[in-house]
Amino acid sequence: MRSAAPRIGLYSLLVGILLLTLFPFWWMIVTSLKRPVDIFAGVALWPQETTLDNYRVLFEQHHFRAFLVNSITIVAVSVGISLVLGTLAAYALTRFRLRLGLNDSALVGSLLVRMLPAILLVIPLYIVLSKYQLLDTRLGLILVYAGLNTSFVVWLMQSFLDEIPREIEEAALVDGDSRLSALRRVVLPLAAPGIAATDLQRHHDVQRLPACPHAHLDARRADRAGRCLDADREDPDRVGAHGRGRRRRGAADRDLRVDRAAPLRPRPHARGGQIMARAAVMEAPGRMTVASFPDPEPAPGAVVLRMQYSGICGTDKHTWRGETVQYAGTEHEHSTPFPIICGHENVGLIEAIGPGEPPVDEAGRPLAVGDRVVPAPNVTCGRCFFCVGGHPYYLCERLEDYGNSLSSARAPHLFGGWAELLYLLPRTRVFRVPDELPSELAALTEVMAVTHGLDRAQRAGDSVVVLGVGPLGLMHLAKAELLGAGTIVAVDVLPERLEHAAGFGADLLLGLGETTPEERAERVRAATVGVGADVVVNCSGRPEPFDEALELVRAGGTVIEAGAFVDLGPIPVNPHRIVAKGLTVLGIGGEVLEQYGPSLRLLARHRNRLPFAGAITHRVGLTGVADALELSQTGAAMKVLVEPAAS
Amino acid sequence: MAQAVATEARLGWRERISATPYFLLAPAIVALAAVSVYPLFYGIRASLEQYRYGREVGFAGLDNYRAVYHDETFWEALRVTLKFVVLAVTIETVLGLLLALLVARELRFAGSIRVGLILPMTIAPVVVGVIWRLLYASDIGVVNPLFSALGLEEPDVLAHTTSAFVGLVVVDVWEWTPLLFLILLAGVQGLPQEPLEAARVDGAGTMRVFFDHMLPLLRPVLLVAIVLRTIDAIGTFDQVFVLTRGGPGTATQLISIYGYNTAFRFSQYGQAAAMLLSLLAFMSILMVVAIRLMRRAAFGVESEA
Repeated sequence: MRSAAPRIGLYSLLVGILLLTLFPFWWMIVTSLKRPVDIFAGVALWPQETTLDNYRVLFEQHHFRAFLVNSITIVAVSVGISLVLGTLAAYALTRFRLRLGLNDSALVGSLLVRMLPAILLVIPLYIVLSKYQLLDTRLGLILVYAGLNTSFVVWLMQSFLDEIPREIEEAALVDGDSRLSALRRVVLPLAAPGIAATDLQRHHDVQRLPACPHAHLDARRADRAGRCLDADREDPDRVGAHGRGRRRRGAADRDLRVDRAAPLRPRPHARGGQIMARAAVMEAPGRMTVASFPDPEPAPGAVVLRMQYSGICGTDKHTWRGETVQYAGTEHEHSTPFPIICGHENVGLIEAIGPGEPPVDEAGRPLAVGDRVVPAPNVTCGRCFFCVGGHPYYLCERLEDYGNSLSSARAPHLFGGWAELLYLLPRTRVFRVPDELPSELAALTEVMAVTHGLDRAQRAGDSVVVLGVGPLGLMHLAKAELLGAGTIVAVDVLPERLEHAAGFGADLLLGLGETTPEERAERVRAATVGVGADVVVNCSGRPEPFDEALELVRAGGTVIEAGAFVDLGPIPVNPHRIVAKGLTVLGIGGEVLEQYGPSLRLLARHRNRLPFAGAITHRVGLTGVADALELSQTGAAMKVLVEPAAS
Repeated sequence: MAQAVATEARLGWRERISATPYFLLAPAIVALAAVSVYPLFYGIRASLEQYRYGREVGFAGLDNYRAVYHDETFWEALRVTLKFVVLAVTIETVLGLLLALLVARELRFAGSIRVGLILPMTIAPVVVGVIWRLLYASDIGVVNPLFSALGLEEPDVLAHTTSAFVGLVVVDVWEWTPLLFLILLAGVQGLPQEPLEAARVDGAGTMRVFFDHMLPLLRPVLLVAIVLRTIDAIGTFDQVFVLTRGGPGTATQLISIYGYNTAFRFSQYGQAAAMLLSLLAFMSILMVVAIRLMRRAAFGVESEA
């Protein structure tokens, strides 16, 4: 019966099963030991050239140590707390007969807690934590874990304690050693980050460390990188696609999902033309393609940025439609050159800095590789009347404008944010992103920095009307709200957008389809003690509402024209009305440099107070840009972010 | 007699200071309640509130529940979840049982083999997701080259609806077959040998012994294992979140993922709470039925033995 042949068969079967079981581990380990070039060189079960570089990079460039410290701190403290609570409770349960059948019900209860799928608890916990300002904190995580783990400890300790007869309870102390080892076995499984980890682990430091990379395969290799990974993936999603369940399953969204599932794209290490960076290139209005460009070597003073997110701006939609004349009538009037890589609302990680003295951030601190930054989209000459005189920087006579004036035909090509890498020319101003601000929200900085008209025109308690509540309008609503507006009115043709506006605190929503201009004027007056609004902002991007703005504003008030960045032609305006009402008209040709720091800080501080995350309705990879441009002109989308690393 | 009196006296003393155990118990109960009962009630309240951009804007009554039950995507997510759970748990049970039978004998290196086999279930689900993303990746993974080496079309596992779903089932099977294996191994090793030997002596073939004698004896432990695993599988989240996020389209959108999306992508906290509470109710029913079944199975075995 026990002949050799079946035994051999059995063992080879077992070995085969073991190999299948263990292979995924092996693949992860091998990949972590390969050089990036080799990873792409095809399937190799053994590293062609073993390197520990990935680990080195992990520790040196990705703040891995900080993640590790976070993990260890949170696990240790929460397990410590739950051990104490759980052991005390277990002791009470095993040594005393309690009233109300507590002995049994407490045990069953703790088991039930353990069995509840964490996703059921996550939503209420999220709301509760946010209520007590505990989101993004280690303390919040520790408390949640301590609570959840207590059930486990009660349950286990109870069975341990049960095994110790009371009579030899003293003797059991001598036994302490083996209990301790048992305890160790308890502690270890607790360390496993469960589903709550994926959802609540947004603690400050994980968030803070910008190197936690989307595109950086290196960081994903070692086990614990899972922590980094899920913190990184989780947050984007919270601020990710918005819009209501039923509306969002359009074609573009499907693309987006496919993008998400697309393979990881590693960070190119080799430099100097060997490795290519992909970019979405608009070859002509309405024509989009994805092309590759050589990884650029930064000149002195230049910076190469690894893009995290780039917003699709109203300007880009105009460019897509072929409406390309910008800054008409100024020194630097231009028509968008094709081919072009669009994208000027950018946030990314510094990948490389040119030789020589490094550029500095807003506070004059030198920038370093790995810094998470928002670059200003305009580059000024620093020598013209407007630069020297300290006027808004977009008035520079020799303005260059990423994603708008710099064609990708010109080397080093990568002059727009819809690309894996963005080349920042010398003199480009760069701003560090506050640690607690997620990158996707940082992509709103540029739009927020356009709202400086309100800083000049609005005083606390003022009534503010915003015409056109796309992303730019929403940022104006947010600014108005945060500046302490008394009444806020939103006007738009798309009901979906008005719904967003309500989220930002608009008191009165006026649909263009449902109301006549007269009715709107009537409603606005009714909402503003009968005199009209103190400030009216036209963010529609269309010229026509400017006339309505003159109507809605009160005498002596201010009209801000912020949307007409692209020349869409004139409309008839009666100048007498401006005179008769004594109006101030502010033209906002874009954001100003001074607004970047404040905008970043404002977004960081109020990120949970106003639904900024909700204003970001879609994220697409480079291949999804064309669809996204179409989508972003409908009511289904607000701010759409391009995530170059996603596909 | 005197001793008994003394004991009683001591007990009485204990009874009198019986506040002590409640003090010992209270912190744990508070902690547990804080992360389960409180959120649960909060969730129930949230399910009755109307939210707009994460802000409560008023009482919604049963509107959220109505919205959920009228939402085609909810039912689709439920179908996907059930399909996923049934498929994964079935495969895991069969494989786990086969493995248990294979290993439940005298083997050299039995310890190492067991450790190797249960390794997948010991790592964090998030990490499982990362590992398999590496394997499935279309440019640097292993699965695509494997298929093309076999002369088959490269599947791009996570890019297509069917293959992504199958891919997730494979991941779940890889991760959790070890659990079934472990529980069933204990079950198989704890089987009384006499009836099985007796059947063999009576000339029953291996198959007959297995189906007629072994399987009925294993029924209680099988049920426990399946129930535990099923409850766990319904809540599967991390791996799917890392691998597909419910995509492509809604092909792998489990109810947990949809609940998460509803809350954190669409900020419909009320609807998400309503959805997940419905799921909880469904699971509770499942648990009650399962516990009934387990009890009956356990008694059944007792009467047989």
